[in-house]
Amino acid sequence: MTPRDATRVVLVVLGFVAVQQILVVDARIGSVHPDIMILLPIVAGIVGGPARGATMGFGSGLVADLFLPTPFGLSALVGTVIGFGVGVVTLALDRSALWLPPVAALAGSALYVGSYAVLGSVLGQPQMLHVDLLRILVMVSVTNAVLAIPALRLVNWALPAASVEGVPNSAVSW
Amino acid sequence: LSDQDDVQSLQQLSALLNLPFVGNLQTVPAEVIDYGTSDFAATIDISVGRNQGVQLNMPVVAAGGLVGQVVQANHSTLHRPPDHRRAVRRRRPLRAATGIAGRVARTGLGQAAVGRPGAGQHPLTPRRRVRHQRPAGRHLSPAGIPVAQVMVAKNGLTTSQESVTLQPVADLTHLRYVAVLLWGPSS
Repeated sequence: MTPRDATRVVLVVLGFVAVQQILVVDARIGSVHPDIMILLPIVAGIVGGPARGATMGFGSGLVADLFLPTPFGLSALVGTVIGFGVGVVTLALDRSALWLPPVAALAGSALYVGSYAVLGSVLGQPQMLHVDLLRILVMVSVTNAVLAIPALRLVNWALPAASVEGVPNSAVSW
Repeated sequence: LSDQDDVQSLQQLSALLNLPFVGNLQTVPAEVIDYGTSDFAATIDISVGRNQGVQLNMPVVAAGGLVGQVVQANHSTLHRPPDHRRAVRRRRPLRAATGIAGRVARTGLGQAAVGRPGAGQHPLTPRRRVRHQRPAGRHLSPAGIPVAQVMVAKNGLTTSQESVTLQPVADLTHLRYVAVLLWGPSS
C-alpha cells in the first residue's frame, strides 16, 4: 500500500467516523440509531478480500471504539472477524454483481450486531444482551444495506486494487 | 419562560434543592450535557467531575431517585437501564461553562438490593417503590434511595414462580439535571 493509498484509507475512515458521530448518532428511530462504521470492514472485504477486510475492520473498529462507552477494542475485534469473513465468503462469488454489497451488508451487519452483543456480555457488559437487540439489528442491517453501494465506491477509491486472479467475475475477458 | 423545556429544566433544578432521600449527604448538581453514542450502553455525559469532588462509583440521583453511578471522573457517562433507553429523547446539550469534567456510570436494576419480603413485611405490589438496601457485600448507594417502582408482581407457590417487573423511578425521559452524591461505600 502506497502512502497515497494509506492517506485515502485514513480519509475514508475519518469521514465515516465524522458522519457517524455528527449525523448518524442523532438519526434515531425508536431510540436506536444506525452504525455506518460496520460498513467499512464489510465493503473492504468485498473490495480487497479477507486480509484487507480484516485490516480495515481492525483499524476502523479502533477508531470507532474511541467514541464508544463499550469495552475498548470490542469493535475492532468484531470488525476484524467480520471483515475477514466477508472477504472469504465473497471470494467465491461474483464481486461485480450489484446484489452482492447490499446482501453482504445486510448479513454482515446482522452478524456484527449479534456478535458484538454476545462478546460484550462475555466481557463484563451484561446489559448488552438486555437491550432491544432485534430493533438494533434491523435498524443497522437495513441502513447499511441501503448505504452499501456508496460505501463500496468510497472504499474502492481508497483501497488499492486487489488481485482478481481466480476470482469469479461477470466481465467477459478474451 | 415560554419554552416548555425551560420550565421542565427549572422544575428539575428546583427538585434537586430538596431531595428527601439524600439526608445529610453532600451533593453536586450537574447538567446532562449529552447522551451516549452506543445503542448497547445507555449513557449520558454530565458537566461535573473531579474538580467538584466527584469520584468513581459515586451514586447519581435525580428527583425521582437513583439514576446511575460514576464510572469515570474525567468524562461523565451514565448507564441507564435498557428499558428506559428508548424513552430518552435526544436533545442538543446546553453546554455548561465548565464543560465535561468527569465520567459517571449507572448500575442496572439487577444489582439493586431487592429482597423478597419476609413474614410481617409488606408484599411487593404494583406501584410500590423499591428502595436500595444495604447488601451484604458491595454498597452501590446509600440505603433508602428509591430505585424502582413495582410495575407487575406475580405470586407463585414457590420462589422460582414469583416474578417482579420493576421500572426505575428516575424520570429519565426528560432528564436535564442530576446530582452526584459525594458518598462512597465506606461512608
